[in-house]
Amino acid sequence: MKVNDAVTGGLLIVFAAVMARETLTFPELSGQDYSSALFPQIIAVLMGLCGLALVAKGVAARGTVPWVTVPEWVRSPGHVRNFAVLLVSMAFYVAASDALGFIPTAISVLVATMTALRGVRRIGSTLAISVAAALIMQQFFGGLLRVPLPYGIVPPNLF
Amino acid sequence: METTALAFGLIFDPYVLGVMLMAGMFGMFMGAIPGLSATMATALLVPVTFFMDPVPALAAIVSVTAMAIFAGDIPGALLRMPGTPASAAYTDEAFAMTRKGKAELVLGVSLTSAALGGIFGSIVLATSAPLLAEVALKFSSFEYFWLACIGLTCAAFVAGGSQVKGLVSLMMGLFIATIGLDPISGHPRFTFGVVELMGGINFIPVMIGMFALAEVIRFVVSLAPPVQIPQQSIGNIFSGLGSILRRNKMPLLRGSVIGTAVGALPGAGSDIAAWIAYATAKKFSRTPEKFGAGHPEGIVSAGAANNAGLGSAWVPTLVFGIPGDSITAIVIGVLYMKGMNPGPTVFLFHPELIYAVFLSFFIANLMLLPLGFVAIKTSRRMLSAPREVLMPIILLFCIVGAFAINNTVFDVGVMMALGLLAYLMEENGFPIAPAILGLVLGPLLEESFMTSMIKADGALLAFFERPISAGLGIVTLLIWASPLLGMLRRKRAR
Repeated sequence: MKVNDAVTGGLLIVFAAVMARETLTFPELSGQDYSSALFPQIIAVLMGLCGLALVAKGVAARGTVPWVTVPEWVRSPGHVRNFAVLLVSMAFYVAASDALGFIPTAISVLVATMTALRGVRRIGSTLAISVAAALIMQQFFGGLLRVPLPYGIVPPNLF
Repeated sequence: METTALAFGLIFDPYVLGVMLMAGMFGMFMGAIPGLSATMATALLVPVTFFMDPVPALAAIVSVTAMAIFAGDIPGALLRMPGTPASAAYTDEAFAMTRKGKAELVLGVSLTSAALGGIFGSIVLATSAPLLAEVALKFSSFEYFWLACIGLTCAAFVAGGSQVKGLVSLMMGLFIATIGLDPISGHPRFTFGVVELMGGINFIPVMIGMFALAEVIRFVVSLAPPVQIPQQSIGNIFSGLGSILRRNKMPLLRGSVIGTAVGALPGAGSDIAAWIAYATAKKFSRTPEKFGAGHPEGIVSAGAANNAGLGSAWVPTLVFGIPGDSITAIVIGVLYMKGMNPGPTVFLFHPELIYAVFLSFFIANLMLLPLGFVAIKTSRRMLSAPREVLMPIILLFCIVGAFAINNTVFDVGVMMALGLLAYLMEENGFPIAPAILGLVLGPLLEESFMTSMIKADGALLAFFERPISAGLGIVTLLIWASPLLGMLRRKRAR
């Protein structure tokens, strides 16, 4: 999604203001002229100034650049589905990997995203590739590199 | 002498050479697939290097980047689709040569120029870094503060596109770097009671999100037609190469020098070096009219520049802890993870490791020739790798890589959020590299400022009391003032 620089600038100004407000709660360093608030405050000020510059630029270009430009892919249901599947898959991994375990969650993520991208007709090869990739990843990270990938419902002695 | 022998022993270990070979093959593959960049390959490799000793870890990164940067030329020449941004400068030229039936010649030229440029950059790295480190040993927090300022300023100004947008990206990185416990007072900043944020945001999930996940998102929403696999077979890539290289000795040398100089600038990576080298080759050419119609001169120069820039980007990284580009920003994080805090002291305490890294550059650039040859010969097969299968696997790799650093799904969430942010930023013309440099250099900037102020009892003029610090300070202020001075000059000219 493309937005006019004025919109981005406005959002940056709001973000900088919230950030600056938060820094007011940071304590002073006793005996020092500068506290832990100094750097975030400088960042907030610079961010605010950049925001103002973008607003000025965006307003000047408002005749040629619309406030919001919806990307071409949003008009393609297939691409919207792909994007949604990607986000939902990742959110699913974050939410379910501890309870279900790495292998089932990873296979689900792979099957969902690959089916979205390759179509349902290739479900056989999608399933085979997904299972193989998840098992290789488990063996490589969990076995070889000793990353404690969650087991969940899969018995630990399986690997 | 003993250090050099130790370094040779470290790098010529079969395990290290095996790791370099595997990383090189991975880099070749990633670079050759359009849409997968050298930075993405490095980002995906870091979680694996996390579990290695320092020398194989760094040698793997050197190998993967050297191969990926060259491999980007393959789809550039065959399909007019640069595999990595560093190849974009001469893609049209290379494709024009392919259309003239000289595909093998252009790939041979690219490969040898890349290897020669890479070796030039490696020599500069191996000779200048130890000398600069001796100077840098005299630096204190005052000098480091100015160096961090120069690094960040270059990052925002050189990144390409709008300078304001580069600055916004930099501020985003600096903001992320302030999250967590303040290193001086220990006060939690912007943590909002979330325990996972107390230790700050680890740069690896951020980097995987911004460089790898953002690319996956771009792929799933891409309306571009599927890649057309070239039908022609590739003949002998070394035939006729000698005469072209002999005729283009100067462009080759010029490209290597430009690549080395530009690569060492913070924020300016191989891609910028390649554009400048190509433009310079055209400017100094006796036959500039041939450029664009399939002329090898620009390819020799730019091809050498992008691999030369890889080595020189490590000079400020190793000597000052100031990254030259987004790949070396990743390297800084890896060095910290390995307990090799970048800076001149690493040359005192771990000289054998540093010399082993130098050697790995030479080996990687030599390995480029056989691996590149195989990659060119198998290019049709590599280019036909189904990206609708690769991308979900890369997605899973991103998830596991982000998880593996702290063994927490919180980092997977961070990777997701930053990946989406990076996608939106790039859609709107905000460069990503300044954010990564801000994230890496932010703590150095803040700590050197606060330490200096504690030492000087809050007197800001202390930043100008030491000669080197004063010199660096004046340079920094001049760089900051340059846009204003430029504006004034333009007004006066009117």
